[in-house]
Amino acid sequence: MNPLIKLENVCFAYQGHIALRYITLDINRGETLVLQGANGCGKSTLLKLINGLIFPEEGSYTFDGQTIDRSTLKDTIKSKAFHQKVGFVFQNPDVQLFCGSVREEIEFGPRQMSSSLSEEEIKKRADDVIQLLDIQHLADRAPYNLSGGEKKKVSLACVLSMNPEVLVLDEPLAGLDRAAQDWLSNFLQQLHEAGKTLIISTHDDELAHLLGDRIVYMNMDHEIDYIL
Amino acid sequence: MNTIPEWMTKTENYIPETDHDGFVNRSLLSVMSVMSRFRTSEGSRKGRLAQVEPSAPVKLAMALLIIILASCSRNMFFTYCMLAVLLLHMCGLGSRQLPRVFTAALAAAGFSCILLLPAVFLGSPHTMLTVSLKVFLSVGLLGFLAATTAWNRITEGFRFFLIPDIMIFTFDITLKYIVILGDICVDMLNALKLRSIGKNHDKGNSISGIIGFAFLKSRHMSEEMCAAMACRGFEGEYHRGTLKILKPVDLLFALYAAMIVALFIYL
Repeated sequence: MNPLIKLENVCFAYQGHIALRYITLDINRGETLVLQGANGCGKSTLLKLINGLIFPEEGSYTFDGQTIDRSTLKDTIKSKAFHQKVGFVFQNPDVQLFCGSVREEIEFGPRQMSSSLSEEEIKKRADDVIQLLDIQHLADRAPYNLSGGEKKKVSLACVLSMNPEVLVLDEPLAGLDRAAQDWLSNFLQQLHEAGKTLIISTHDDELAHLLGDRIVYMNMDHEIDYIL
Repeated sequence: MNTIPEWMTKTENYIPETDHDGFVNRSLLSVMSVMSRFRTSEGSRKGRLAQVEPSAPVKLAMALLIIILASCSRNMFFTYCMLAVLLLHMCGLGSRQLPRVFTAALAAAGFSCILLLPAVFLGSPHTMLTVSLKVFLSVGLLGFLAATTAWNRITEGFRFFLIPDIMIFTFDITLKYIVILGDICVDMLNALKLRSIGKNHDKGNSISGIIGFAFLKSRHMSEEMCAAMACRGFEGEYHRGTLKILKPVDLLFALYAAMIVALFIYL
């Protein structure tokens, strides 16, 4: 089986400061891969690279057989198709929410897919996701007035409504209370069982061992130390 | 826990439509380029030039001195001399900084030329040339200062001119929050880019949402900082430690400044 995501000897540096050093990694369809490592080891940079926000300076990144680099994503059609397939839930949910209400926020992605989704389907998707995440009471509220846990749920909802094949989550448990952490862990497990490919960066060992088919440990040399 | 809807378990068969969304990319690039300038790594020179670099207060004082003297001077020869000094210093700038400083100075001079165009028709063409050259000199000097000195060093340099510490502290906080809010804006534009997977009929609304959120966030952060400062015993008075001792090379630049003043008086 060909891997969905293939990274080969990927290197990246921020203004001369190395963030990723010769990363080679295959991620299969439907797999849950957990990234672990100390702060500053390059986990978030790797997630950004997988999402096509930055590009390898050396090495190659292939998604579903297609090379992902600056020139590929310059083509807006290819770029949009790629971003529909790979959803990113940021560590800070605040940066992901910019619409007037939670419902608008969830409908934002599907509404842009109006070439393949009717108005009824868009509304159904929003309703389904709202129900799935149990946020009916938040639907008409402004996102910036929500609590941290609620914002996290909404940011997850607005990515899920686009139905991406791969869900990338940067520190999903950060800033959540115990109950919210348990809920999210169970929910991610449910998504995994539904066949979604999950890539999660976390410091939480419990979550890593609960969800991870494989756990990748990165060291402070910005390399993959070992894979469990 | 609720069950996952059926559509979510299927692979999306979606082919995007074309849309003009270069605006998000352009906004991202412009915010990121401003941010990279504010980051303290830029500004301080490296290599051999760093050895003969005066400290920030001296550079600031020299820039202000030349701007004031050139503005007061009625002798064009003095302005030409100062322009020659500026161009000589600009030769030491890197390939990224030189066009930035030169373009800003040239744009300001060009704008002055347009504003003073009526003077040419009213029989005073020299006015346009004099003012435009002085504008080029002033903007060029300030651009040079910004390009070769880290922002935090510039604000520290204000202390040399006995500007109150609380004011310098305010400048420092402003710079810090420009960087923090800039980072937030970059992340939000990235999030918008990632979620712009088709035809967005309401791009203006998304961008205004980002601007509105950045405003709310800045207000929230200012309130939090105010509370944090109150908790740390801040009651409106702020005093920093003693100013760092100037470097030996600064004496050389003081001599250089004295020569400029002597030239101004002589001419």
